[in-house]
Amino acid sequence: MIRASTFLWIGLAGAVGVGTYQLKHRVQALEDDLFRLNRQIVAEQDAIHVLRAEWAYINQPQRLEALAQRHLAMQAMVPTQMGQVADLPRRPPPPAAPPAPVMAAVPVPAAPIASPPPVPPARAALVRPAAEPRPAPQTAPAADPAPPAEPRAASERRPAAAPARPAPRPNSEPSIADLLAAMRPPPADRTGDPYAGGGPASGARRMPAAQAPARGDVALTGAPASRSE
Amino acid sequence: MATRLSDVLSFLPARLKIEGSAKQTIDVARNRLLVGGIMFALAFLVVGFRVVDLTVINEGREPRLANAHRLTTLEMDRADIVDRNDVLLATSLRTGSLYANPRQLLDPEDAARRLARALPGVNEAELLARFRSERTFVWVKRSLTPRQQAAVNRLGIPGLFFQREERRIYPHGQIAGHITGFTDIDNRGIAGAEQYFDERLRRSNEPVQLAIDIRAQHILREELAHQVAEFRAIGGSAMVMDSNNGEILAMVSLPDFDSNTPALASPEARFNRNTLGVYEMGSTFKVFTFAAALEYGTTNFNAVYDASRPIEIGRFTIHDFRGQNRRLTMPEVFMYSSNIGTVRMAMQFGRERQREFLSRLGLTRAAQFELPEIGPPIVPNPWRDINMMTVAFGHGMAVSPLQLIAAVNASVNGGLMVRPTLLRRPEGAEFPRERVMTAQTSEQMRRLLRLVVERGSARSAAAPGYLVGGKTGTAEKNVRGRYRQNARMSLFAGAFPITAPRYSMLIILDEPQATARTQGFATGGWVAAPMVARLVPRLAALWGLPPMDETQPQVRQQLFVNAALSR
Repeated sequence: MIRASTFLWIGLAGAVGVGTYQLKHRVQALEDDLFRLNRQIVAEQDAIHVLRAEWAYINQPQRLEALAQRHLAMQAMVPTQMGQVADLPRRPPPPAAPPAPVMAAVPVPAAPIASPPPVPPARAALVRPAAEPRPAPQTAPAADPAPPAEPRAASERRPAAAPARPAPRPNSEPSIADLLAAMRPPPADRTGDPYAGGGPASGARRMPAAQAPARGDVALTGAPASRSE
Repeated sequence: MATRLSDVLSFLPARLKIEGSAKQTIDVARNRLLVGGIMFALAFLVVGFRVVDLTVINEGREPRLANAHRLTTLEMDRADIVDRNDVLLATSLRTGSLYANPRQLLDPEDAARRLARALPGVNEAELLARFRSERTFVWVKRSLTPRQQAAVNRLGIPGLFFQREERRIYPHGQIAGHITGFTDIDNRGIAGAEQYFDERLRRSNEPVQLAIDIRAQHILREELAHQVAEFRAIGGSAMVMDSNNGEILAMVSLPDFDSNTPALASPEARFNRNTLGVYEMGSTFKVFTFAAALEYGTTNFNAVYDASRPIEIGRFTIHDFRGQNRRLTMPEVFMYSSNIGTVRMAMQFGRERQREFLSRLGLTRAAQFELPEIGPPIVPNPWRDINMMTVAFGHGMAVSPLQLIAAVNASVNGGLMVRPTLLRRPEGAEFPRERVMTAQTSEQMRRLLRLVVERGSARSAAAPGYLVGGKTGTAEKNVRGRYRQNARMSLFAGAFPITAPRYSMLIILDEPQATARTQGFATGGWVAAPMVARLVPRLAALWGLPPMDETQPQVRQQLFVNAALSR
């Protein structure tokens, strides 16, 4: 009797011990997970921070303007290209009545519709981005047919290896460019580098050459045609 | 009480019988011991509970929480500076600086050779000399990029260590150098907004948002640089300001510098002409003489001034530049920028009221602005009659361009003085405005300023559709007390659309040289005004300001000048 209860207690104590041990280990593993994730978050934040700096750097208006001049056949807007909806001619009344023979003789009514108003809507749309915060890269490709930019870029024989670098800036000090250029460590060995970003971000770090944002901005910063006066 | 206690404390020898006063004494001692013991027990109990509470029950998670918090937000030593559209103007990036402990280096020669190969700008011989020293700490290179750090780690040399540092980066440093300023090697702001907001940038992680629009900044700089190059000027400055709330939207001073490399900049390039420089502003000051005369009621559009002869006072003679040499109506005086007529107008209200009016416009005290580089104006003291006369047409008193644009702005925006600010004003925020002249005076000034663009010296500033109004000015430069004929400042100060100003602007070129195209002139009308015609449409397109029909009847009526104007 005494023996049985003793074994029972020993068994219980053992079970509790094993349980506690397991629990402790699981908690420790979770804590390690948490710590690792937090570290990863900070690394990602750091990467985002660097990318924001780089984004601001490659979005320098003077650089965008140079790119727009090189790759886009667009000019700065002049006031005469702008108009307001109120200025549009009123829509002519639908030809409800059967066309009278006089109408056939005089083809005038078609003219107000066919002759475009001073402002094509596409132009008006170009004005709009000016009011918004500038970098709107997601919307721009949708609005514009992106392909034309690519073949032209290729035909210019631009080196594909380092497309994002604004290397041909003649007067720029190399420091910031170099610094930002080298900001992304080689993904091969991240072990010794405490500032290396996480894996997923490094894919996004390579910036395609002057994609659509330049196009969205051309209305803002394109060189004025009047310059060549 | 005593008997009961003795029962309880039965461990005391029972046979010991003490009687009388001795027993009483022992009872008292027992009671004291007991009370003391209970108190100690309670105290230990409280401490014990608190320990359990701290470690197990309530705040057991605390250290972990503290760790988690610290680890999940990226804290930089210095906050960012952004423009009005949240574009980064200044930020901190983490870098590492490499140092070595020479005593731990196994093979200094090999280490120096390999490091020199891996890091650009490191001299092998120099490094080896440092490695051979007896010290335990020598810098190898400051501010390594992560790529370079990885390269150093790959070398696997013991005795090398990284010191974590932050480095200030200015993505738009080339075009906004004067605004952001820069920091020293210890990341302390020593110029521009970096210095003015130093405390705030270091204490808070919240970015400082400026009123600047970096796109407008670029446009303004490009146009000004074009003008400076065309007329071979030694420099220039330009500003665009929101007429209603005083936000400085763009501010350029040429020559300028890149805030990423301030050490390479010359002192001239680092000099912010807009806030630190003070200049005699020439005919643009006539705006204030006219506004004062209208405000004090000493003139009206039908007044006539005799500008047929120069005014002689003491050893001075006041001429007109390309004078009309006849009697001029008041708007004609403004249109032709007649010094003589303006002086006669100032004499009508007198020097005390002139001084009072200019003080009201903030021209006699240093400007209040969110930059450390502020130049105090040079004001005549005492203010004699001759000073009154020269100040009436903008000589003998020097103010900073920032003061000038604020005062011109108050003259056109309905008569409200708004302090210029470098910080973006939150939507709907209240800010102080001071009435410095009646709305009617301001309205008449707008008509006059438009007249100058339509028929006067600023005709080349007309940007069709945007109703530019403004005044040109040309000031001979006062170099060491002497006015030099061929060194001048050429200015344009104005606003658009002038019927209800949204933006005020000021353009100054320092010592422009006449070109063949300008027929030998380098005055404000020839040099500064043409830039306005290019600048305004670009800015208007940027900010979505629609062009308007300048010939509309109500516009014509708003700008009508009811006076005899000959041409």
